[in-house]
Amino acid sequence: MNPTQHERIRADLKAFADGELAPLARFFVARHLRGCPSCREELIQMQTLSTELRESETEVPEAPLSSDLRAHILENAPTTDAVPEEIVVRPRRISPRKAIFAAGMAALIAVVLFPTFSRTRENARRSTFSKALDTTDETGSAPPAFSSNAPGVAPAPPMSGDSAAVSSARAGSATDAFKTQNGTDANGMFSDGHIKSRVGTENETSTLANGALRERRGATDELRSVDGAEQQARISVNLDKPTSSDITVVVPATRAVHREGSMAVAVQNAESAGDDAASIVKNAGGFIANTSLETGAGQKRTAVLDCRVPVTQFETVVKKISALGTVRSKSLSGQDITAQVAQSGARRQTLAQELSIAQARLAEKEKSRKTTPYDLYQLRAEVRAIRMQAAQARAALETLQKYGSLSSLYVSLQDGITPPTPHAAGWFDSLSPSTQAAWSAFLTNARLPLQLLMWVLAYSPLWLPALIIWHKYGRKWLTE
Amino acid sequence: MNGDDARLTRRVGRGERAAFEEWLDRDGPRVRSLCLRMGASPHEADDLTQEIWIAAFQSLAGFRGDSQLSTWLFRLAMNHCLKWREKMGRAIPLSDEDAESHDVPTQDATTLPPRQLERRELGEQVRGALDTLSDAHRAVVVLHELHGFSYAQCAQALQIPIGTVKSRLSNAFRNLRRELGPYVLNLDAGEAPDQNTHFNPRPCRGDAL
Repeated sequence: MNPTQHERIRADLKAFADGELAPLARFFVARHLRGCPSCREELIQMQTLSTELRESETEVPEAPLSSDLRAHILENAPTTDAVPEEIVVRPRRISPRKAIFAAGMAALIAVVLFPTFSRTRENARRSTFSKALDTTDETGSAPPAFSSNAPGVAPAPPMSGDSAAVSSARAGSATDAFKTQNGTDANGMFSDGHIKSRVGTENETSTLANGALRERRGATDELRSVDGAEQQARISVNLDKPTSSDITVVVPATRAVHREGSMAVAVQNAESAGDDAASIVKNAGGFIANTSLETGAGQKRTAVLDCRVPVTQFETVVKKISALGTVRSKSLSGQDITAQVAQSGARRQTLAQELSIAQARLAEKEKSRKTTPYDLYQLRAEVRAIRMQAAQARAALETLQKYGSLSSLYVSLQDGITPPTPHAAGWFDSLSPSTQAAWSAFLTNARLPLQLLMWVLAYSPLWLPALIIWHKYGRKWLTE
Repeated sequence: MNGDDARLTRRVGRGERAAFEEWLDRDGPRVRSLCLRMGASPHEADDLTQEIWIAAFQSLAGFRGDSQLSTWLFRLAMNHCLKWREKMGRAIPLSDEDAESHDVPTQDATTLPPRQLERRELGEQVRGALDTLSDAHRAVVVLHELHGFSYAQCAQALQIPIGTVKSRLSNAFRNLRRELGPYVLNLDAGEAPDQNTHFNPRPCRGDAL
């Protein structure tokens, strides 16, 4: 038996007999007593001695104080003025050593558990984010999607939220750039937005500040958001021309989001995979705008397909094409063009009304005898110009609507996958089916305990020193 | 601190005369008993008790309320007793006159039954063994064994760590075992209880006061 341990236990015997030892120290003493007759004997003697001490002192009763002594003491009792106003009964303070020990253990647990919880939280965040990317809203408009492969492509989040800042550039005849600050209402209306747009063909610049739109070229448009339940915006157009009047333009209730994507997929046979991809696009209601098949180095072929698919089917088509082989790269992006569609629609309606007014004035002038041929010429030229602008606005609107309803997908299918080699029979295959099933069941059920064991072992550099310190000093601290 | 003690503490703090009387009736006999067990004669115990209570009244403003009122009083009493012992010298044998005036009713030894006579002799041996202890050891033995203080209350009363209380008690009992060994062994031979019961320690007494 270890002499040091024996002496330490002997020092604890009295506290053990008095029930003043901490639970862990009591366990150690009790275990020691089972195998140490001398300590057992000493414990018995201590208890007997303690009993005898108390019994012998009971011979001295605690007699009440004599009346003289009591009176004499009470004479010296302080008066009300001499005592403190109030004695505050304070709760018992925690021992500093215990507090330090508890704080250390809490810090150790926090250090051990923090990576686990942070990892779990990160996984949950990623899961939520990926779900948000995969979800299509009820109205049929595709949600914004963007790829980490193309950081330069700005995302087009749904215009609902506390704050959103979107800037985008679209190639084509019309170039729009809009910026939203302070968010929009739940229906995507410009409740508090600040939008600048520039349409290249029309060379117009308009600004929406707190829902107000002003045109630089004489005309003033006011775009105010209305109640979200109505899902429409009222645009007041006050043209400088005498025929101007207010009109109401209904903004699309759903968001118009254009989707674009490109992906490279390694397949076994690029030609047949191209046919499969084409059929997938057609079944989804889209079409192939352009296709090509090239043969590169090593006789590896590459089929390139420029597809147009409905926005609502974009995610489905991407998933189906991804299943044709191994995806080597994928880039998806989205662009919200609701504002452009609304502005184009408003312009088209304004021009249509202007045209009708101009035509009515022309008809009136043609009936009048006072009208000179030059005036008629001027009016006809004006009507012709307005009709041309209205046709252009209608075409722009249709283009935008098609742009918002169709998504572009560039697919590159490359030869690159070698046929899988036959699976070589391993030791697992040589087992009987029942043994394989038993082994699989064992691995399934034992996964969690094994992971827990590995986790505990991995963190042993943290808890092992704590255990050693506890074994050496912790018991002593707690018992003190 | 239980409810009655807290209530009494507040009443004492307000200076209620009835509260002082209740406090004195509750703790006065124990303070005097402590003085006796620390080696004072009955007359000296009366004087010491009076001094202790007057000191308690005077220093009541210094009571912070972070312990029981009785614990605070016993701390004061123990300090007084230790100072008194230091002043009077360590060994303070009881004189015959004091023994006669002791509260224990004296009776002719020849008329006592053998069991009671044995008890009386053992009591004298125990008091003699207590006199051999140092003041520090004696204080902790008196508070814990004879007044039922827990280790924590002993630590508060003596203003020492609990570990020191534990080691002092352990050392004191080794000394007492050495002094009272023959008596204890004789008792063991005839009256020692079953050994198995000794391996279960007494439940913690906690707030014994």
